[in-house]
Amino acid sequence: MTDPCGEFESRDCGSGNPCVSTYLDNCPQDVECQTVIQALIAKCSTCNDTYAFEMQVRTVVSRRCSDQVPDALKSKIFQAIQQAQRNR
Amino acid sequence: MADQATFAEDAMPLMDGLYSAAMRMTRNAADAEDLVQETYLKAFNAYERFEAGTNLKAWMYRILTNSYINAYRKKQRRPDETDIDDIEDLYLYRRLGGAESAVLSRSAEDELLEMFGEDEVKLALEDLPEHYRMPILLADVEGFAYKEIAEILDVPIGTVMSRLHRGRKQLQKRLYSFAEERRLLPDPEPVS
Repeated sequence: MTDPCGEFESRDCGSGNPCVSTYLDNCPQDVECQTVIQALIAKCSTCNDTYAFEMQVRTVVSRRCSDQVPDALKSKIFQAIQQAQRNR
Repeated sequence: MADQATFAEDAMPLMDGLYSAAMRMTRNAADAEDLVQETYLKAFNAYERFEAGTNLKAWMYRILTNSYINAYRKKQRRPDETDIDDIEDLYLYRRLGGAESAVLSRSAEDELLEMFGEDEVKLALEDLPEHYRMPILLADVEGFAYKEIAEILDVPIGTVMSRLHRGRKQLQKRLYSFAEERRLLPDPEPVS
């Protein structure tokens, strides 16, 4: 198994493997690379914890930063599009 | 080519996401509303040049981003630049969950992360310099792939990755500061 980050297995994982965040941020998002790294993470409980924690942070950020568009704006834009369609 | 008659049906479902992005970009509701409206009208007028069946969401975000850069960016206050090289990798994990300095159990970590309120997470993201904020917004909130973000922001994919890496570190540092300010962290166990 090739290590796409180059140093995944040589790290001291005592306080979290920085390569996990490097992987999350920098690895190509192709299936082959992701599969290899997932397998490497699965072999180490610290890497697994780090990975789960980092993913949890991202989930919280995503959930907390979602706004709902005000209904008034939605109607205003919809009407503006309809008006533009009629004017064509 | 796309049919302008179907524009509203195709593009209206994307509005919540575009509005959230506009809010994080402009940092105020009035400008965000204007920006979203401008984006939809520009997109409608250009819709006949959009290739049907390709990535409408990415196309709309590109229009949003360009509109923001052209019209709103100049008047935005610029967040303070922090020397991100000083922030270590896995900033939160090392302070909250790392084996050497664990102050929280796994479930407590999850609880802590859940305790960060909307206002705090939004503020932490909005406090990031724009070149870090935009990739994080597009990747972590809107779920775009790196390649799509590179196209939306018109920067090389390597730049997207490096900005994400550095921006996420700064975001984690800000979140940790909130946890400290709000005294959410338990006191460390006394050493006997």
